[in-house]
Amino acid sequence: MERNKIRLRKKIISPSNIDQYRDYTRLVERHERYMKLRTLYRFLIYFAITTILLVLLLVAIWRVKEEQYRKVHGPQSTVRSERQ
Amino acid sequence: MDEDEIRREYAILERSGRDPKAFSVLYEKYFNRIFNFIYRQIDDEDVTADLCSQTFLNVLNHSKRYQFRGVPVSAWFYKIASNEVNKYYRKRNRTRVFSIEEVRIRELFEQANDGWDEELIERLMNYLDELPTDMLEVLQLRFFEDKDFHEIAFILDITESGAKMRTYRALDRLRKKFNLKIKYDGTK
Repeated sequence: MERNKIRLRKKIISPSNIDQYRDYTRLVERHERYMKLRTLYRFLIYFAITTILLVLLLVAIWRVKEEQYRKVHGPQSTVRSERQ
Repeated sequence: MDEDEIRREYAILERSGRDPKAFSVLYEKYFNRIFNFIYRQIDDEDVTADLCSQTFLNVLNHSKRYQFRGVPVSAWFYKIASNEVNKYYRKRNRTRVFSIEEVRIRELFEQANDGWDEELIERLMNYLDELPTDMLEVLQLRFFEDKDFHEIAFILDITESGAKMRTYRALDRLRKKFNLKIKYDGTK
């Protein structure tokens, strides 16, 4: 079982003491930084996905063209190009 | 807090997604409560300040996610704060601390002054030391944060009957062991 430690406090932490940790401006700044990073991160993800799709598309086009070329020039044309 | 007020606060939270400045109303209103809630589980002002700031940052960063589920906006804050505290202990693998104000303990038990001595307090502390974390969490929310069982269930991700059962079990043991009269039995 998880162990806990109970401490008894004589003093209640005062609201004025808590106030020194209250910083709304910094919170908003951190939030804006987070939003910028999130936008950048999303952009990178979309960019990566688009690049991958584009590469796949180019490979598919190249293979179709290769196939068509083989049909027109016969199987030897590929062999000849491989020897070269 | 009536439903209109709760919905108004959700509207502010929703607006915060587009305009972060709108969030200041909720931040000012709940900062002290959340700070105290975290402080009772950490007992270190600087760490509490960090976790409290992280809690509000998480709320603001994901303000569009929080939908009305029959609990006030503050319940979401407590839930996130509770998760931050759990994360803190998980990362550091430390013994969990519950720091309780003596005044609040005295308020909790309607105890005559003559029967309230140092020895009783020490025995009570030893007893609380042995309670499992989930029971202490429920007791903290019920008696120090004045949350009803519906909210406690939401904050701790348990059922309402589970929250009631944990509270009654802990209180029952307290009554039997210390012969104390407890101020609130919590029927809300």
